[in-house]
Amino acid sequence: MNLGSILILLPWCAALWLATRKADGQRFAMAIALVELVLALILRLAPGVLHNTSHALFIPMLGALWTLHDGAFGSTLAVLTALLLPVSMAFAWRLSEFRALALSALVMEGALFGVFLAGNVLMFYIFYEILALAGAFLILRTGHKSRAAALQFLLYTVVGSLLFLVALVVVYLLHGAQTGVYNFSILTLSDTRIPASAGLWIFLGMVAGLAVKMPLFPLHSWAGPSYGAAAPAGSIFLSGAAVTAGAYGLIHFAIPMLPQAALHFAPAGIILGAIGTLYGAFLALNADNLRHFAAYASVSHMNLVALGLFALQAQALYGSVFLLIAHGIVSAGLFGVVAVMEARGLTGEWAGLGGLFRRAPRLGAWMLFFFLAGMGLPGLANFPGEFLSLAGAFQVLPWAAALATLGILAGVIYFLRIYERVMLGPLNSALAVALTDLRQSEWLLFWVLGLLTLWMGLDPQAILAHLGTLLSVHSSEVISGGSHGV
Amino acid sequence: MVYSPTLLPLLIVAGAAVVAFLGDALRIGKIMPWWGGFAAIVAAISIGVEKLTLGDFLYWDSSATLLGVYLSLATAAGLTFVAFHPLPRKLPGSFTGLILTALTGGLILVSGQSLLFLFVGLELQVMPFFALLAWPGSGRGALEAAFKYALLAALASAQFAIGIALIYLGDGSLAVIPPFSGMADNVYGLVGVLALLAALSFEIAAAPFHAWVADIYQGAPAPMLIFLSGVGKVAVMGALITLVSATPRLQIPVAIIAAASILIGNLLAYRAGHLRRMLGYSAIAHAGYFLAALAAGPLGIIAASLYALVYGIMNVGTFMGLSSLPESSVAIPWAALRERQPVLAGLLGVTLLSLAGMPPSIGFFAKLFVIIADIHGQLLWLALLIALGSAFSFVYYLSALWKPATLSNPDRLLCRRSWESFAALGILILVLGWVLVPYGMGG
Repeated sequence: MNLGSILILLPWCAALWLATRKADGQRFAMAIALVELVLALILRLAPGVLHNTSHALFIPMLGALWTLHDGAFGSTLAVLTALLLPVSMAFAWRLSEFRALALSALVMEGALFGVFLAGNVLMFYIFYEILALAGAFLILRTGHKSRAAALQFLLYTVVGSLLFLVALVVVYLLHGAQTGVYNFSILTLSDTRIPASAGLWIFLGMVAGLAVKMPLFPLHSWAGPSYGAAAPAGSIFLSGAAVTAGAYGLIHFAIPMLPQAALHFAPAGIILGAIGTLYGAFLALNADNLRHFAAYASVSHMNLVALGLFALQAQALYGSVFLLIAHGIVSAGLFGVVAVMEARGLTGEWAGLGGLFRRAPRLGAWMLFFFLAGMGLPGLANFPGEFLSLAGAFQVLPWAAALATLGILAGVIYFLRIYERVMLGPLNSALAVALTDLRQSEWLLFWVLGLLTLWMGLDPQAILAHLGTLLSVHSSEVISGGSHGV
Repeated sequence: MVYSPTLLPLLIVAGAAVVAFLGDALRIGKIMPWWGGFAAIVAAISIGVEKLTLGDFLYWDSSATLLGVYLSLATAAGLTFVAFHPLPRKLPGSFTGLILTALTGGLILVSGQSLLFLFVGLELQVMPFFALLAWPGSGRGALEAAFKYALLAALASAQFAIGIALIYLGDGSLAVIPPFSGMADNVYGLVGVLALLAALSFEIAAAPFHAWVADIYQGAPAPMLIFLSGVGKVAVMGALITLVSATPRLQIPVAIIAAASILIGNLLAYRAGHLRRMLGYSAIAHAGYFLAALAAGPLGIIAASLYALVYGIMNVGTFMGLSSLPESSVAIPWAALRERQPVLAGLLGVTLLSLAGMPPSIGFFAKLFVIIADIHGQLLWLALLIALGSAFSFVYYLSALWKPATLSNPDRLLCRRSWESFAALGILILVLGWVLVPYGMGG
C-alpha cells in the first residue's frame, strides 16, 4: 500500500469509524485531518514518492481502475484540501452537527485526493461523483438542513458529470477503434485522434461536467443556495476545496485531450467567465445576508479563474491556478468570519447587524483583512492571481477581460459596502450587550489563515515556480499555433 | 424426450419442488425452505458444469449460464432469507415448492431455444407467482395485486401464444436460432416476433406495457417481490436476450421501447410519492436501460446480460431490506430501522444508491457498460437518454433516502438477527461485486 492509497483511504476509514460511533469525536477527526495534512505535505515536497505507480482492480474492457500518479499541480491542490479540512473542522468545533460535518468532509477529502491522484479518467469520474454525493450530504445535514438545496446541488453536478461520462466514453471508444487498446488511462486517451467536428461536442460534454463544479457562469445557480444552506464551516470546505476538482479536471485532461476543441471553445469560455465575474459581483452586492454574500463573492472569483483558464495562455493559466489556491484560503477566511458570527447567534441578516466593530474589534479587524484580500489588494493572496489572469486574458480577448476588470472593480464596491453595513455605522440596538469577541482559538485560526494569505501575496513565486508544466507539451504546441501562446 | 445432460439443472430443481410439496404432508415443512435453498445451490453448480453445452432445446450459452447461476443462487438466498419471515409459516413446503417451480420456469426461460419451450417456461413461472402473491395471510392489497398480475400475465401469455402461432404460420419452425434472421419479407413471422417482444415486454414492465407494475409493487408482500422482481423479471430478460440476439431486426423496436421506458419510468417514479410505487415505476426505467443495451448489437448482448444480473441483485437487496418494514409503509423509517437492524438499513441505503447508479456500486458499472455498448453501436441518443435518465433518477432515489419518516410503533419492524448477515453479504456484493467481473467474464 503506497502513500497515495493511504491518503485516499485513511479519511474514508475514519469516516466509517466515526459513523458507527455515537460520540462526536472532535479530537479523533481532527487528528486524522492533521495526519492527512502531513501526508499531503510529504507528497508535495517529496515528488516521486508515487513513482512506482500502482495498478490494481483490473477490469476487462475498462483497464485497471486504481491507477495513481502524482503531479506537482495535483499535489499542490491536495495540500490546499488537506489544509482546509482542519480549518473547517476547527470552526465547527462547538457545533451540534460536528459529526455530520466531519463525516462528510472526511469523505470529500478522500474523494478529492482520489481526484487529484487519479491516473485514469474513470477513477477520476468515480471520485468526482462520490465528492458530489458527500457534498450533498454536507448540505443536507448541517446549517439550514435544506433538502431542496442539497438536491439542487446534487442534480447540477450529476447531470453535468454524466454528460462528462458520455463524452469520456466516446473518446474511449474512438481510441479503442483506432488502436485496439481499450482503457481509460489519461496517458493513453490523450493521444486519440479526434475528428474536429466531434471534438467540440465532446469538449462541451466535458465542460458541462467539470465547469458546473467551478461554477462557470450559466451553471452557477446551485452555488448560492448550497453555500447559503450548509453550515458556514462546511461551506469553507465546499467552496474552497471541492470546487478545485472541476478546474483540475479541465487543466489536467480535458484541455490536453482536446486542445483543438479547447481552442475553439476558448472565446466562449472567456466571455462566460467575464460575465460570471461581473454577474457574481452584482449578486454579492444584492445578497440578502452574509452567507449569500460570501457565496457570491466566491462565485465571482471562481469565474475569474475560469476566464484565466480558458484564455489558454501561459500567464493567464498560471494566474488562474494561483487564484484557485488563493481563493480557497481567502474564502475560508470569509466563511470563517460568518461561522464565528453565527456561533454568537448572529444570523447574518443585514437587519440584525451594524456597528459590530465596537463590540468585537478583533473580529472586525480580521474581517477587514479578508475583505481586503478578497478585493485583490496588492500584497495579499488574490492579487497576483487576479493580475496574471487578467493580464493574460487581455492579450487574447481584450474587451472580455475589460468586462471582468469591471467585475473586480465592483468587488471593491461590494466588499466595502458590506463591511460598512456589518461593522461600521451606529451600533445596532438589536445586538446583544454581552457579545464576546474572538476566543483565543478562533483568533489563532485567523492568524494562520491571515499569515498564509500574506505569504501568498508577498511571495507568489513560492507557489508559481513549483507548479510544473500545467499542459502537456503536445497540447501546448497546438494551442500556441492558435495565437494564444502557452 | 430422451434425457439430455443439459436438462440436469431443471430436473434437480423440479425434483426438489416435488419433494417440497410433499413436505407439508409429511410434517417436515419447516425445513423445506432450507432444502429448497440447498437444491437451488446444487442446480447452480450443475449449470456451471453444463456451461456451453448444447442440448435438444436448451443451450447454456454464456449469458444463459451467467443468468442461470444467478437465478439459482438468488432463489437460494431468497428462500433461506424468507425462512425467518412469518409469511410462509403456514405452508412452508408448498411455498418452497412454488418458488422452485418458478425457478424451473426461469431456468427454461434463460436457456430455452424453442418457442414452445419458452412458452412452457413462461407459464411455469407465472402460475406460481399468482399463487405466491395471494399467499394466505398477506392482506387484501396482496389479493388485488395477485388478480391484476394474473389477468395481465394471462394476456401476455396469450400474446406470446399468438406470436408463436404466427411464426409457425410464417416459416413452419419453432426453433429460435435459425429461422428468425431469414424472415426478411415474411409478414406473419414479423408480426409474430413483434407479438413475442410485446409479451415479454409486458413481463418486464417496459413502457408502453407498464401499467400493472406499480400496483403490484405496492400491494404484494415484500418477501414475494424478492422473487418476482429479483428472479422472475431477470428470467424474462434472459428470454429477451435469446430472442433479440437471434433476431437483429428487432433492434429498432427494442430501441424505441427502451427510450419510451426510460422517459415514462423516470417521470412516473418522480411523481409517485410512495416508496413502493416509486420502486415499481423506476423498474420501468430499469427495463428501459436493459432494453437500451439489447438494442446495441453483439456488444449490447453482453452488456444486457450484465445489466439483467445486476438489476436482479439490486432488487433482491431492496426487497430483502423492505421485508423488515410493515407492508403499508410509505417511506423508510430510517431512525428506527438503524437502531434495530443497522446492517439491513445500510443494505437499503446502498441498494437505493446502486439503483440510482452511484459509483462505485455495481449499478454504476452495469450502466457504464450499457452506455459503452450504445455508443459503440452508434446509438448516441440512447446513451445520452440513459445518462440524463439516471441523473434524474437521483432525485427520487435520494428523496427516498432522505425523507424523514417516523414509525408510530417501532415494534412493528420485523427484527431478525440472522438477516444482518444476509445484509452484510448484500452490501459486500453491491459495493465490491465488480471486483469479480474479471472472473465472471471468462465464461
